[in-house]
Amino acid sequence: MITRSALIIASLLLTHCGTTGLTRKKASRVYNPIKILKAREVRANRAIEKIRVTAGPLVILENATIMTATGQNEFIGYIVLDKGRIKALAKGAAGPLPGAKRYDLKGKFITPGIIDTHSHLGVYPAPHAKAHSDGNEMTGPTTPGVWAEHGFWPQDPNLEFAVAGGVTTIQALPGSANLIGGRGVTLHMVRRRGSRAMRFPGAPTTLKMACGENPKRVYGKKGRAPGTRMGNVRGHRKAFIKAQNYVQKLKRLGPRTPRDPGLETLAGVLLGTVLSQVHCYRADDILAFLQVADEFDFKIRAFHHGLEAYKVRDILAKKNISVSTWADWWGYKLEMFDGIPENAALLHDAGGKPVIHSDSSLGIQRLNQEAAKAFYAGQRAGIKVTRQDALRWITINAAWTLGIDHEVGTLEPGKRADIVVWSRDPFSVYAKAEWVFVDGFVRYARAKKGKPESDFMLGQEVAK
Amino acid sequence: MKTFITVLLALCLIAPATHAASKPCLAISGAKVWTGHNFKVMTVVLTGDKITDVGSKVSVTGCRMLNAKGRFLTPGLIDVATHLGLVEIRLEPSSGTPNYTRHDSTRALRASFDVADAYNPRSVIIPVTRLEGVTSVITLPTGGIIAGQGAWVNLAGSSQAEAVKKRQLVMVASIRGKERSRAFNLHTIKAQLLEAASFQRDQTKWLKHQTRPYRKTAQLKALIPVIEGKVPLMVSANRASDIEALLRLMKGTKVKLIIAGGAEAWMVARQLAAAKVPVILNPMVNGPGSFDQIHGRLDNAARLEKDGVKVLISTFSVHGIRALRQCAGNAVRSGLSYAGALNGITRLAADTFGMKGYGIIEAGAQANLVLWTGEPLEISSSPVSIWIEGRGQPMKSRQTELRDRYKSLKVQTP
Repeated sequence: MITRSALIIASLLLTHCGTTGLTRKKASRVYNPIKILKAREVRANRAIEKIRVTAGPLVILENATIMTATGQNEFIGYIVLDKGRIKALAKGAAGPLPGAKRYDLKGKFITPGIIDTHSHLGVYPAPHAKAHSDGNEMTGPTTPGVWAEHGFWPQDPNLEFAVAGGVTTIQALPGSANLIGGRGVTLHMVRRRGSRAMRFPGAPTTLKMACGENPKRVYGKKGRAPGTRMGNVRGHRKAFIKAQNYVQKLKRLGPRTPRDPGLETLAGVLLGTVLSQVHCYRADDILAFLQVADEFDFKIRAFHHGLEAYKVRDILAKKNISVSTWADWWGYKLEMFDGIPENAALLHDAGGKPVIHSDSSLGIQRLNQEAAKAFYAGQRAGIKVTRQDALRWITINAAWTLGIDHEVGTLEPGKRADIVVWSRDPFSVYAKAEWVFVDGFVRYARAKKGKPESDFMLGQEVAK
Repeated sequence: MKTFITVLLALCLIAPATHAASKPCLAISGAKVWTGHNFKVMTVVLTGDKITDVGSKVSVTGCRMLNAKGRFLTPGLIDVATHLGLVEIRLEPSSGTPNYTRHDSTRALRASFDVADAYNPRSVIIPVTRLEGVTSVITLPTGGIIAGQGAWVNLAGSSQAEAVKKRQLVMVASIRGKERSRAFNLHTIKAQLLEAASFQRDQTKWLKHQTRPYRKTAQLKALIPVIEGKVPLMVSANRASDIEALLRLMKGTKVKLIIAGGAEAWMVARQLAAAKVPVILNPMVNGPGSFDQIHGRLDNAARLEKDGVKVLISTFSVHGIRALRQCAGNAVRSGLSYAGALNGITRLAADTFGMKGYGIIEAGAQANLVLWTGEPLEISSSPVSIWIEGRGQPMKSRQTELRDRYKSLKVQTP
């Protein structure tokens, strides 16, 4: 019986191969579109701003309560940082280690650096101004060819405040005015003169898309498509039909395929190299977008905002799609009317991957509090969730959403030394980040007062 | 004789209590009660809509007893600068709007607009907000230079009559916003107040000679209590120099100025303290969000307190009022005294707007109370019980209903 089915399958495969064989006769070969796309963007991805890489110092953080975000219970112990990586961590006291700078952190807490999956820092920088509005290319509803990093202003004064809140990595995203808003960029919170050199090493490309009220409001008002939710989905489908054709061309023509910044991005989504980040609130909008992804056979990495994700949490968990949401922000728009504070906890309970994001230059400064709010709301409602789970909502789940979970998001040997030292339990409203380490270097120290980092803020206080 | 008087006095003192005891009363014992300075284990007796007794040895005979088991009891929290009940969905004006000038920006003067008439006591935002321990808010109009008058509402009751505790409580103005320039706005506020004063001095003459429409008279009439200092004037301003200009403008007048926003207020703290002008601020707002708040700082509240300025804490929100205690907690995180923070959303909030009996736990005060699982500003804490005018409030909202409906997904797939 088994042999029989195997034979049938084999013959089917043969038939299929036969067809390919015929085409091959005509068009000679099939190119690997992923390789072609990658080769095309090599120089677009290379930073002109060269950074002299120095290895991070040897550091011991000891006597602290360590929350690893691996799911393991918190413990009192130490972490050794060396050459920008976590070298070791363990319970109890650290032994002697010559040449190490030691921090006695009695009473303090250590967590991985916080990762914000949804930020508009840099693309909508402070101060709010017409000239600073670089996050929405509102000249057309489908703009997959624009990159957030090209609108990112590294002098945004709010970057410094985010770091002071324990944030070590952000995804800067285009806004949600467009159905397809453009590429996001995953940035390490290091000081550079341009965004390219801030890019998190090896982080995959992401693409921001949106459904629901925003695109149809922005364009409907102008008397243009989309003006309805129907128009939204048509817009998405149109774009992916084109992208499908483009992938076929890439396979057939290889390097001779005409270049197109938008189609190259969308092709990446279809080929699985670009991680889709989809702004969606309502459960039915989420399902409608899942239909589009199913039709064009691509994976969605994350829904963003997802206030009604709890209603479809079984589906999202099964498809392994993360949901970046807030703790309790709601009601601003009609599609935000059904938000509940237990959203993250319910998603977690269903086996999903909740993330608490900020989408705000103020919220990003206290993501630990936001995760705490979402955690306690879940706990109060009797949902099975622990502190360790909730810490993952602003660390490893966020890292996974951006495809950098092998590098950051938990405290484990070998990972980048992106670490926050908190004055007390980070789930307390009174907790402050005292030290923030990025790649093993002190990126922020509360006790250290200095000039503002942003050129914009420099000298503002001189005019007394 | 002396004994007789003492007995008589004692009887007089007891009498109201005995009278009160005839009405149903509730005694909350063993609670850590916020006194305005600290938490003290006491018993609080509620009778009807009032607190009738507070102390460590009070008579609780005939009262229903509630053992608080060491939990924290605070006055109901108060947010003094919201648009609650005026907006249901921010981006859907059809759901309500606090902006009376929305559709006609030239009508920048709306002093006679009384927001209480627009208040919707059935807004679903109210129970959501109440569940975080907020029992009263001031709800405000927006838009224009003089937006209209705010009202004090309790977060209970299904009619305006029940919910609105005081209308025409505060006049709202702004020198920010899109209305022309700050100079124009400042000048307009000043001119309006002067005109109102002239109107008040000689109304008959004014009415006889007025050539402008009646609307104008209504504006001026509404401004009279402001120039008399009976109704405070709350002006939205963030930039230090704007605050300075407002202080100068109001100097020598009876106008009771209150600054709302005040991102850079710390830079003019001494002037504010000298003029006894309170500041309503959100302690989670910092950084140069706009050119009006280049010097916004997290320790704004702490610095103002240190210089003797009365600080009130607000979310300046509708859907986000529920974060009020997080705001207060963050003020403490950034250096404000604990009492300053908790009073900034209770006692001081009521006191600044002359709402006697609110925001305090004392005999005779309003029975607006919240019993918390833990220290009230901490994220891990939540209300166990909420009383407004002595009535226990349902621990439910549209959001808890949604949560419960979707706790299991099975019901969705019959």
